[in-house]
Amino acid sequence: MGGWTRVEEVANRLSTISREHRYDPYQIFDWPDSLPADAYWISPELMTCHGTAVWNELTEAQRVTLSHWEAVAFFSLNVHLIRDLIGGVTERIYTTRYPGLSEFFHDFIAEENVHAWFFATFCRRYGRLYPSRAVPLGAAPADEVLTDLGMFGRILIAEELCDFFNTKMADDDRLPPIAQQVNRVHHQDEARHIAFGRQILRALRDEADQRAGANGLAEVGRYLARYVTACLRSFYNPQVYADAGLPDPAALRNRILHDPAREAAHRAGLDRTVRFFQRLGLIDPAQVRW
Amino acid sequence: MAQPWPPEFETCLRPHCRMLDGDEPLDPDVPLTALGVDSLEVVELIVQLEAAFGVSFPDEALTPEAFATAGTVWRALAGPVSATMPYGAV
Repeated sequence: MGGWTRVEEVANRLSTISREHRYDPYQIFDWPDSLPADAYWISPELMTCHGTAVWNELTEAQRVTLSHWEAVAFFSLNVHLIRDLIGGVTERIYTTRYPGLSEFFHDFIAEENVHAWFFATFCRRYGRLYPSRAVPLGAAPADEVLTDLGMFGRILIAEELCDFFNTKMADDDRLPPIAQQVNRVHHQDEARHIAFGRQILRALRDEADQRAGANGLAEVGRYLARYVTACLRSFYNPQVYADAGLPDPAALRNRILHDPAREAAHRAGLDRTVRFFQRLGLIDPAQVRW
Repeated sequence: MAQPWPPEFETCLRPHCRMLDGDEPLDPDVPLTALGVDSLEVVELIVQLEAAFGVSFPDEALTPEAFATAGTVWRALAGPVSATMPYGAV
């Protein structure tokens, strides 16, 4: 079966599943007035300083307080990633480029909009919605196939990293039920988006190989390897440490980020994804700065 | 020509200017995109500048306009840096 035929077949199947499992986000969540101050809101193993010298210096109370702001920061990051993602897919719906995918794109956009809403609601109720620290700069490649390969590649990297977190927190009883539920619901939808993402990337990769050759693929591969690094770095926000009452947040962020323990955590989150891109001939794992 | 910023600023910025040769001066008014800086480089650049100067860029300073040139980046950073120094000296 040809690449694009396969993509459309998968997309149609995923659309059917989406529509069978559609839920009302305004009904399914039970938002408490407040969350317990003495509980972790994000799994401690997923916190930015876990395993580092800084972690060992913090008291349990400091770790718990930090977890509140890291949970809010993680969900805020999801909101901004979704904004980028919705914009990119919306630009491609009903275009001649993807004629058989618009139905799926509708489901995708609808679900991502819901995700942004419940992530943002958690942030606004229990902390704050951290603004994006991304600065849009630079131009996309002139070739639309390379642009799309980069865009859908970027989306998949971000989705798989966030899903890694969601999966671990969906049933973590140490967290408030609403935190578990948000992670669980997102994971259930995101599994379909990731399945689509991997499929469309195979087709885009083959198309890019035909049109732009090895040089074009290498250009996108270098971009995606850098995006892996940028995506991981975005988790380390000095304002989070400041909000948790920790001193000298910029220096603290630098200590944490450069602690040797963090590379293992980054690899746990994205090694599988990078290997997928490696099998596509896109990312050379040696190019990734963990 | 003396640069309008301290050496550590350029130490942070130059490696991200992928199109800038090692001996070429960093012009404060040349667009950073022309020097090979893109949004992904800026992520790392922000981390390095904040670590080097012990400050955080205010959220409202994280705009394409603020990161248009080396000069605009320094001016965006200089405010928070001044605020940490006695008598506002930079």
